Amino acid sequence: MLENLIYGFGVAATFQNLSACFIGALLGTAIGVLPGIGPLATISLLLPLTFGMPSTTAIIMLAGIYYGAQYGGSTTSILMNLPGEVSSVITTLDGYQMAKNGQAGPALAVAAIGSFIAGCVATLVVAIAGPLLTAVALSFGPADYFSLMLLGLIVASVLSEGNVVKSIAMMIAGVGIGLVGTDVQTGQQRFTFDIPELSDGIGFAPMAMGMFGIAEVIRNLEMPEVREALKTRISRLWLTGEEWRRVAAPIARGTTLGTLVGILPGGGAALSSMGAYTLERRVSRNKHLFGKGAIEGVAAPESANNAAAQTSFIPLLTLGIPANAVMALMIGALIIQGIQPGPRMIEAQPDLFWGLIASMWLGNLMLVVINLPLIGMWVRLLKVPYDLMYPAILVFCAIGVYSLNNNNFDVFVTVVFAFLGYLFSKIGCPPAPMLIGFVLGPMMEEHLRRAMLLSRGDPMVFLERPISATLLVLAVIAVAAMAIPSLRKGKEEALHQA
Amino acid sequence: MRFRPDAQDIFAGVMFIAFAALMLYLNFESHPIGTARRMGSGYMPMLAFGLLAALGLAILIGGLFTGPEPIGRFAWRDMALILGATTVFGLSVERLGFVVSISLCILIASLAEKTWKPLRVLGLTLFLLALCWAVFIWYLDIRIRLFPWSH
Amino acid sequence: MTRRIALPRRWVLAAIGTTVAAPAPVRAQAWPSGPIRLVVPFAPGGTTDVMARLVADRLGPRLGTTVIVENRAGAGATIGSTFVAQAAPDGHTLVMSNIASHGIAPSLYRNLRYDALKDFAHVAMVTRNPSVMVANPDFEAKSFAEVVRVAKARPDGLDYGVSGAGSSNHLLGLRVAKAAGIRLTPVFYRGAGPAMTDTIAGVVPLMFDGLPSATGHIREGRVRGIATSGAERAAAVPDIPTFKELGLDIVSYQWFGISAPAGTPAEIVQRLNREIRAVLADTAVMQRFDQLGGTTLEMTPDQYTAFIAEEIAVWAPVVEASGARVD
Repeated sequence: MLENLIYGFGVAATFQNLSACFIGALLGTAIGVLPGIGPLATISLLLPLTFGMPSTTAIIMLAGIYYGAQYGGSTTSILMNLPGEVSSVITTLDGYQMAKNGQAGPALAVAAIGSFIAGCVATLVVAIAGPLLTAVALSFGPADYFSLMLLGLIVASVLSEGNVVKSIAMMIAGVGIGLVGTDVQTGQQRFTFDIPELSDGIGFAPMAMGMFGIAEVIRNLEMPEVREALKTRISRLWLTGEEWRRVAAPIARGTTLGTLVGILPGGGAALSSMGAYTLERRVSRNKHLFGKGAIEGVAAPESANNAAAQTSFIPLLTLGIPANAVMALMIGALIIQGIQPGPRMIEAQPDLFWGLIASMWLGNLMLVVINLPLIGMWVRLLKVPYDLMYPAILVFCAIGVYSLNNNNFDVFVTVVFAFLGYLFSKIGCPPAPMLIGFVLGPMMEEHLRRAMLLSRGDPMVFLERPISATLLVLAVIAVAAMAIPSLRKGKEEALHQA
Repeated sequence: MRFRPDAQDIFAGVMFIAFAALMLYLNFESHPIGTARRMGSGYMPMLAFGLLAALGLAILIGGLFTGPEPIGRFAWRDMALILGATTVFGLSVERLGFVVSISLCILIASLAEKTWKPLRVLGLTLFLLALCWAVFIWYLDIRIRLFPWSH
Repeated sequence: MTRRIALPRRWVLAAIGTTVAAPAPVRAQAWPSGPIRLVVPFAPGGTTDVMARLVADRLGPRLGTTVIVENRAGAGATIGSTFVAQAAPDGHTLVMSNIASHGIAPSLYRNLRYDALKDFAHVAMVTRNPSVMVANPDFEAKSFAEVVRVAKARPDGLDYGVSGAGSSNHLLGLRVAKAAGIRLTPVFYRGAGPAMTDTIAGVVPLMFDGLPSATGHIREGRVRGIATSGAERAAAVPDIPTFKELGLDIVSYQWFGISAPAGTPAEIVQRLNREIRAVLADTAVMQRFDQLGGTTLEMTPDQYTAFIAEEIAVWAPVVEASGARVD
């Protein structure tokens, strides 16, 4: 084991591979920061470049882009309320609030540090237990996934502050919007109105850019005071001793959760950061601060999503199966190189396997080194006068969204959701649960119907399978935990009023 | 409970009910529902939008008593300019190219600022054009036409 | 060609410059007068995308320009194809025509916005590959004969995983079931990856997949190859029999080629055809395609057009019978 790792460092530490790792990490950070353009778009643009590279170098660079983007993605979420992917939606909840409170520095710092720690731990897990954990991923059948998604949705409904019924309604509405497009089980077009662009569903990025980023621009324009607050109340860049104490446990819990959930192909990233956030809200001593700028609410999900980003390599490395769209591209990159990803790769291409693992460590280290000094610059970005800032945000969002599919339809989708996002803010409907429902809902449906098809319509399959049954029990507990305090509170309020 | 209408909740409730009703109608029109054992493509939409309608009703009824929470003023002008700028970008990017559509987008958006300073907007436009060119075209090499006459 | 990030972009351009400079023949017409866009109607990274990029890479220098791959994915490869059908027929916009967009879509989508034959000038075939039926290695049936026996013994027949409703593999499964007189129920996934995961895990016993993406899993024993759909056995997996050998009248390939909008001048189509075939004849390219599990195939524009017409005729009744038609 140890000698393998040392061997891997030998591979990763060559000048060529180090620079590939550095370029990847840097590029990843850059594209993570740009709204709209995610790791998927960038890796696909860069793919042809890797044709000419040695395979190990190529994959090290692509991996660097992938986890670099996880770092960069938190930056815009915190500074501008612009989440690039599902996992960053969670970061906006408290991260952007911290920025509004003048704590952008500590928020960015804790995101970087949490990601670093999580990345290191998760990489170790990939190296040691990768093949073993594959079995876990394979033991999840459709029934188990359904129960997991159901649990995820229930957990998501308590994400935001305020009226729980409205949160749940937003989430269900998100599920409904997620159903637009081709039905996986029948191929039928649902709610597409004969628009071909809708046949693959509404894109996540246009929806998130609109509802969060651009709607926020409109809100800031109408409230100049908030803009001023963002600008003037910038304090320190680093964490205080007190904050260090507050984030230690959340980072540890987030890392653990992210490492485990990341292994599951499909939905791992979204569930991990959401789960970590909800867990913290339950166990934290600072529950009342959540949603108002709790540093724990940034530390835990950021750690979780970076841990999940690393462990999502496990199905790729051990089975040759992609856990998400980015991983599918990585497989494409490997296949171009004439390498078949899978368990044999560890023996057949030890350079590649151990070199990649070692480079993940080095890459995480580089990312911290790149990102910590940048915090000062990012925070200073907030001081840019808003009349110069918002057209820039708008233009970057628009180009980013357009370039996703080279299709202006996505730009129009962004406009619609920007309007809705603004409307929702006026009537007290939180957008985060909608995005979560949008992502998890269709997956839940898909697994539900697949499970029912395979069991020939026998619903007992959800209770007979131990994993599924356990998750369902957790879901029931979650509902109870949610319902009891609010019932009690309702009673108290009623008594007060009486 | 006293009748104290909450405009936010009432609006939200009506919105959810209307959206759910529309989608339910479309769903029954065009998708087979099936049964719980053999679900058709309309089954999940039926559940989701049915539940949404129920929740909307709950919010609406609740909203009659939990107020008053008025809906804030809508910044119509700001909203129209920001959304308009983005729409114009979407409409023009393929035909007029990157440079023109970005300039239009910035120009329209900049009108949302209370005091419109032509020189400042011009400077910003030039700066952003250069920045976007560097980031998106030179660095990321996205596929986008530069000028109306370019290929 | 690649012009992606700062440094390599210049190297690449320089490299192109030198290769072009040497054999540049005097061009009769002013084509190409700029970069050529090759629209790939799939998401980047899949085998087909990779193959398209391989061709684009070598085609550019031969034409003295750059061939830019542009991914416009969606709606069973019909969005990218629609885009090209409506593009200017000046030889600067091409599409990777394929079995989904040009073979099956004409029967599958009622509201298709192009005619797969009339709206295109089909240029050249590029490559094709057979599909393969695989089974979970622990599944009781180890051969096609046993699959038939097990399927007949069970009242519900057997399930097979497949990438999407209306995909060529979905329809191939139905054809196999009909020809063998057994009941096979398709279980759909979002893409071949998740379907393969569930086949390896044993959630579904069988799967139909394109050979390129399944080869690695077969070789490493994660799934068992049952039969391939080619006219003869595939070189990548020579010990797997074909459906034809097994007595079923089924020969089916996934294929893709290159097409231009209808109205593209005949000289340009001919020139493109010559250059594409020259690229395909290159041993290095052949080897690459071979590794990926595809066979390069040379056809004239007329042959390719006739081939597509034939494919549309083959799939129409299968789509009809499957009930997968999308309204």
